[in-house]
Amino acid sequence: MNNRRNAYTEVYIILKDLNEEESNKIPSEVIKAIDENRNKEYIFELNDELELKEHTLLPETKAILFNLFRDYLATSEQKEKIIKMQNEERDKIELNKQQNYITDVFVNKRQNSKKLL
Amino acid sequence: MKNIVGVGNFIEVKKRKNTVNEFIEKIEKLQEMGVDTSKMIAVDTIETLAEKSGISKEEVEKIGLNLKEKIGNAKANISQAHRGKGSCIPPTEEQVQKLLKLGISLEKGRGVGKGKAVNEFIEKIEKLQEIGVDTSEMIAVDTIETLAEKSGISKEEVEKIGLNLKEKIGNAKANISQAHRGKGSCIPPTEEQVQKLLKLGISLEKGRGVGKGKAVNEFIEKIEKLQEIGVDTSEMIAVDTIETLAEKSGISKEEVEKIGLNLKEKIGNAKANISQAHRGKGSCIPPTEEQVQKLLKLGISLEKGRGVGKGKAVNEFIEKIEKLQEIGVDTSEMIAVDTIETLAEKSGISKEEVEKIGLNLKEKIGNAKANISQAHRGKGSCIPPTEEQVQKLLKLGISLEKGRGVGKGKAVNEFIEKIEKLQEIGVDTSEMIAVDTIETLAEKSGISKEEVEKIGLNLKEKIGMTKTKISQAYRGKGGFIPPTEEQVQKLLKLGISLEKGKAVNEFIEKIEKLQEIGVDTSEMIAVDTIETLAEKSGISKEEVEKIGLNLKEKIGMTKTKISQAHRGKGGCIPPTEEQVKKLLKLGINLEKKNRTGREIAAASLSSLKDMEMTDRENIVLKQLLEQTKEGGENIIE
Repeated sequence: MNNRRNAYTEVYIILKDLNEEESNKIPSEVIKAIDENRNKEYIFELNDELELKEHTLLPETKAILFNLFRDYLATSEQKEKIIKMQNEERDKIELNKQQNYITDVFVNKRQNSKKLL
Repeated sequence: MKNIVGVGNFIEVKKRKNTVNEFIEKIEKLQEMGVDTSKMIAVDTIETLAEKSGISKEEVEKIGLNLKEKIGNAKANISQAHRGKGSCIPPTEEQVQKLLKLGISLEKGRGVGKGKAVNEFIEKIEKLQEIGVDTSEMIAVDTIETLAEKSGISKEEVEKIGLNLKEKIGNAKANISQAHRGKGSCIPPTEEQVQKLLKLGISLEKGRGVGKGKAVNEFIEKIEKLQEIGVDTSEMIAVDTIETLAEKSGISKEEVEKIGLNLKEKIGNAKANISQAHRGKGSCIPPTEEQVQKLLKLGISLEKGRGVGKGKAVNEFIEKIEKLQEIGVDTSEMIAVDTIETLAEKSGISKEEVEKIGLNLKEKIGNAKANISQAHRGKGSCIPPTEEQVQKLLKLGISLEKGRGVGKGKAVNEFIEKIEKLQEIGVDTSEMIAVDTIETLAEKSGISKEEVEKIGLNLKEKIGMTKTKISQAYRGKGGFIPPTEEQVQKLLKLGISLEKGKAVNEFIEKIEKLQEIGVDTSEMIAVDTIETLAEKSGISKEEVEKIGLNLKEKIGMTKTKISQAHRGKGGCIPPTEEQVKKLLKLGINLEKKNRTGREIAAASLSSLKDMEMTDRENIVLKQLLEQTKEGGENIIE
């Protein structure tokens, strides 16, 4: 849970550094919600000379930033692509889950039948 | 049986406490009268110990101590017990800490040379900072090598200042921090050492090492923003909010809101906290010397009761000097004990003439100068003169540097003489850098120490620093009296240019050369070397080598340093306006870049691999948004 508050601080600081034009695309309520729920004690600094991807960001930060990019900053084409990619990933996860479930059932059955023997 | 054992233990404990406590009491008594107990050895008696510190037997006897008492032996016994040896009961943790505070370590080989380790650590930090290593983000696993690497300082530069690259400096800091917090077995740093470290940006408090000074920097930024829109921050008091402060200067709320500041923010309180920290009170990390100076330049003094009426005393002093010079008084040889009367007398100006211009003959003008000089050098508690005032004073022939008021231009002449002497024996002085001593300079030219000594120069003299100061004075900065035109020409003939920006010009030249062979320099990042930059553009190493550039050169770091200097950060000389324009034409922008959506996408794309987390965060943020709209906040448990 603490990571989320810290992630909000990271996101907030990154958004504060975003150029004006794109910053305006993100609704102020979103920024306000992030600001109000962030850990203000958590220290995070951006190095001006480094690209954002060169910084060490929390996984939660990346997840939140990606959602924000998809919802507010991406062009309609980019948004479409992202949603498609995300759906594919979700499908993969679902497929994996199903395969794991089948494997588990199969293994359990074999173990049970061994026990009966 | 249990009870009997219990009673026995009680007696033992009582005995133990008495022995160690008695030892502690004696040490305290001895230290109070000036005996240095830190170098105590096993064979010391109280008499020999006192003798070493020049304290007479009579003085010791007066405080009721037995001169023949083998106090060194007592310490040895307690130390042994502490290490689980001997037959004595070991001291309690509390007693060990008490002894450590008195400079008595019970660890093997830690008793002598109290604080030496800390002093050595401080020296190393100073040396590293001098060559540009950022030590503020040091972590426990850092070696000098990794620390230097993080700041883009080469191994060679570190080796030049005589430090061991493999030394675990982060570990040393961790040990000192532990000792400071009453843990570990090292002697804790003294208050003076703690303050010294804080000034160097090293906090020994837990969790305060990284991101240090952010609060102060944010405060400075706000002050700058407020001043930019015309808010007078010099009269700020503890209860001021940004709103009240703006109100006092007749600046509307709307104007403040436009610059993104929160009207309700208790900025006066922030100042009060920073001031307290600066005076060693409160629990905030005190501002660094650089931050204090920045604040002073903004008219914010952190001294008690010094915030209001900034610089008035200096202006009055300047006015008096001008008036005195107008009637012919020579103020250039003013010394600390001078009154206006003695000063006028030295120039043969009568009392009447001075009285005519409305000055008080008895005024201690020399003392005023001394106070201003001290403030200028970061000492004393007066507000230092502004850069403008320093320059005004220099024009009036008043230097605020130590020992520089008399014999104007002497320092530059001496510097010229040394350069001439060095060149005569074959030392190349053209590549002199700020950290050069005469020794390093000679070394670079393959000239032996003996040859330098023959011409009567001091090998350890920091000649590079002298050049830097003269250059600064030439550009109207610092506190040195600037060189005369004649001296500047003499230096130029000796190949010493006082113009700044040589490094920037070299950088520009390299960029031009790279672009000529087709290297795209516009996307240069901090970690780029010439090699990586060329590689990105598909330019071969051979092509780069043909134009005489070093493939391994960290050109990205040079750009970073120039950018930082341009934004008033770091220790490099900032580029001139002309150089900035030249760089812009070459596609190199030194301004702070705003982040873009594209950058955000690139940095967060990997979250695709964890869709569960991405979806979860999406839901939580949406919920938060709903609840924030309804007036709730801080709802994450």
